Amino acid sequence: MEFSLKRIWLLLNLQWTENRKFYFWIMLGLPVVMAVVFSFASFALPDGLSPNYQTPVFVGGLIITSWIFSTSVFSVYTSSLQNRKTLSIPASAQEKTFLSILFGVVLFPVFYCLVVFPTLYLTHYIDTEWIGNINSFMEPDFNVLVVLPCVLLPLMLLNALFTLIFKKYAFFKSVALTVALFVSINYVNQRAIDLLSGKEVPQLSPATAKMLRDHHLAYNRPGVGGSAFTNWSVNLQRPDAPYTGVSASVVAPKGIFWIPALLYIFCIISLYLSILYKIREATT
Amino acid sequence: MVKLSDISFAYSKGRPVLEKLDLVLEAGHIYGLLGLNGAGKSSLLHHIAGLLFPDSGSASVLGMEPAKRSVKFLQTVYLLPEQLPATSLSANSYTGVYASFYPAFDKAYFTLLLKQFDVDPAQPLDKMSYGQGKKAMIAFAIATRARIILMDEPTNGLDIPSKRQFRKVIAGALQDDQLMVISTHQVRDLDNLIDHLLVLKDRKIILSASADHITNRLLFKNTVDPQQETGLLYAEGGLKGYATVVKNPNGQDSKLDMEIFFNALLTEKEAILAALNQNQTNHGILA
Repeated sequence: MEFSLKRIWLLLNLQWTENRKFYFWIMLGLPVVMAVVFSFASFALPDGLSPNYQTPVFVGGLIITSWIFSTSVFSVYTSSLQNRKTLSIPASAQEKTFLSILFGVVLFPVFYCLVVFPTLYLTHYIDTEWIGNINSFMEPDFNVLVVLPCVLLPLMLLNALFTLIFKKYAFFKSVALTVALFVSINYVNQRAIDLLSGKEVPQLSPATAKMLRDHHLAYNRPGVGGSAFTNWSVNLQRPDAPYTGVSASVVAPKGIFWIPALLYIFCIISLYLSILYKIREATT
Repeated sequence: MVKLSDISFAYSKGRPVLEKLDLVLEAGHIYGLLGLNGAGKSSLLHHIAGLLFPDSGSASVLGMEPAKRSVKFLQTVYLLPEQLPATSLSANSYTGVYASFYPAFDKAYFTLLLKQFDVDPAQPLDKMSYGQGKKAMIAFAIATRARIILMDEPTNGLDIPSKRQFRKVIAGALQDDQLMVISTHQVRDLDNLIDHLLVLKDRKIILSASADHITNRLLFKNTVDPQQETGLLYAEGGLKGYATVVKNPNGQDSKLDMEIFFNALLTEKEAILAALNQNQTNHGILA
């Protein structure tokens, strides 16, 4: 394996120098655009810049802009002139892959957070101190600090892979395919659960069983549902009431959390290797 | 230095570009790769540069497999493509970023070449005329001191003085351990420059011969009445009479007229190859 930190540095320098005008506009434009989006809530929404607005916009902005940026980084392998130039640079496929992922998948999201978080802080200050709305500031919780990067990483790697596969309209095709993949996985996952476990909750914890007994509740069989991204939930129903709602969830025992963790690592490695092989096998 | 054996390649099924092509290139030569538009010259260069992979056959460049594109290989082979991607960098900045990838890059020589080509090193490349940008990239290619330099239609877009300058620079640039392959369909641009000719036609190298060998076997002369010439192989009319290619049994000296030779080879292939004692088995006899 050919991997040299010196060449990584040279590639980093090259990436920066070749695209510095584009990056300069991003640096300038991103906080301005996000300030406008945050300010919209302050002026147009009844609650102003509420935490319910701050977090989705911050997270949505991160995903959308990271998506666009990583598409632009990897699109050098899809334009014939740029592709020829990039493939001819004396650096290994491993180094080129690493640098592209570092730039498109890691550095940009970090940059986004460094720029947009203060922007949000500033617009929140204006929202509360000048406009007079009463809103607390978004506090980065476990979901933002841990779950979001963990979701963003495979998403961006998937986007990178799709960008390498699709030569034309890579961005739109990549979005469409990712959404299709997401929906399909959800559907297949639910079918698999239904098939393997039937409509029964496999094992009720003593606390749940007691709760069901105490409140005269029963879970209705057809209501069992599941997806890869939500807890497996059951619809609870009182026998004497018409109301049915998702009000309890089934969670896996903590002891088997290593399975999804392992699958996650396997997924990341597979995506990385797929990108590497795609770049290694790329031709003009 | 470069050995291609039995290479076949097609961009899509049923449309082969190269077919069972063999080629051997040695150090110390400037090869002219001639062929009509679409003959597969660029594809051939891209195979040597590791940018295309053969469907069958094998390629070896200094003992390395081009398709692996190892770092050492990429430092050894430099391909100057016909079309250059736009960059807002100046020639100086471009060198600052890219030269470090080439261990043998000669910065002083690059500066000298830019001066000879009359290119402003501080001007952004995308603000230069096409020809000026091309000259800057030719200078970069030569200054890399890569062992194998491949140039795809380098004279396209150059004005007449620049073409003359290009020939002068190339003639003085080659070192003993280097080889250059210059592909062009504007054969006159390579006059007095190349010392070995490769002609690509019908998906194969139909001729691989040194300029000396060609002029030893063929005589290039202008005449008023070509029918009077003994051993006439080809004649082409012009304003000042006929340019002819005739057999040269006595080894008379003449200047290789690349364009006439190329036209003669395309129209009278059998006779020309017979006169050169080259068979058509696509094994490119190095004369």
